[in-house]
Amino acid sequence: MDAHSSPPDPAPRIPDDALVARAAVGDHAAWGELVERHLSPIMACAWYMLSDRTEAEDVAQDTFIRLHGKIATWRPGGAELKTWLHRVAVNLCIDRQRARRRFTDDEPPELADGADEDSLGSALDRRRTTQRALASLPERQRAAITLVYYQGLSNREAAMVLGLSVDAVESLLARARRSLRRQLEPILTDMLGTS
Amino acid sequence: MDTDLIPPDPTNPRPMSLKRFRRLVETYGTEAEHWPEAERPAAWSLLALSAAAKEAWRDAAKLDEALRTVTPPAPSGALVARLYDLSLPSDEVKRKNSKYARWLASRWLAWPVAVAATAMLFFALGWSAPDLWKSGGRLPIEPPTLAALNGDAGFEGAVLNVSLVDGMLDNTNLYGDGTLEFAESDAEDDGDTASQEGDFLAALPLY
Repeated sequence: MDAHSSPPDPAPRIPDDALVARAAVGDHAAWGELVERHLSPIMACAWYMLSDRTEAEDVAQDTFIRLHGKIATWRPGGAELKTWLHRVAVNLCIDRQRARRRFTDDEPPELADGADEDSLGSALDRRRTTQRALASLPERQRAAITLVYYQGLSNREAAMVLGLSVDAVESLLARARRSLRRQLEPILTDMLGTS
Repeated sequence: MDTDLIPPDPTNPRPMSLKRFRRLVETYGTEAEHWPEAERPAAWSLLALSAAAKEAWRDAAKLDEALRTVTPPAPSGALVARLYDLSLPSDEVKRKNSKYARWLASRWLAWPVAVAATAMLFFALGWSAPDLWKSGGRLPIEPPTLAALNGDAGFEGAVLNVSLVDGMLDNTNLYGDGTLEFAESDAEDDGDTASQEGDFLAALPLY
């Protein structure tokens, strides 16, 4: 058998706890790996929650600064890093959403690229309308959709992030999807018609 | 064949009814990895058999498709660079140690050095000029110079009453800035100036 016939196995993924432990003693490569591994998901989570790129970057940055502050005292085997980071990010996002509401009288944020509901034909319009529907969800429903649907967390992980029971997360998810379905009915009908 | 109830999987004691299936598909959508693992086998079995389950699945798939159109932006390069460049705790410890060392040097080492240097300066001055304090901080010049001034014609009309006590002028002093300070007295020159009354001090420029 030719040893070169198949690509070598990729290097085994170093566990987050090990990277954190190495970063805590000054290993910049380990810190870089943590940033590379988790920044995009955390940024995405914040963006789904806030619908604003600048704010999402601020939240992602604050989340990593908190990790940076915690890294020397991080206890391996405790909370999973991914869950912990999401919890910090979601809480920061909820704080920002609540601060927004104090100034906007509970109106959902205007999306910079909001769509005209009369023009739902294009994929871009569908995207904008869906984004607006997501932005209109109550914060916990939005968090649940973000964590489970977009971030791929299990219902148990999402429950840990949100500090709720699994049943409560399921309830949030079901209500969020029902609300989205109502708001996106024109799009969904159009999609049904074209499928 | 349609069925409302799939017998429970041996590993999953919870039976899968159509109602439960609809509830799950409304909650988790149609992406299998979002579903609770324990529920999947019975749910997929029901989906394979039930037309109502298939319809619920198709409806949920449309919503999932709409949700998939929303994609997040990637983090900016500036954000990535800022986070990469965050110094790690060990760096901060080193920096703090260095900072503390500088602080200690400035506060706890420099001050004693400064105090010691000042003390040495005062000691040196006191050794070389023991009457520094008596003269109010001004150093008298050497007594012979002043002694030579006694009766100098440059002080016409002035009654200089100069005497030497322990090698220093007693009631008249000449300072380094060229000022002559003396005490005039109507008392006899007995060398005792401490008890003189009615003295006045005058400063006369010598240059």
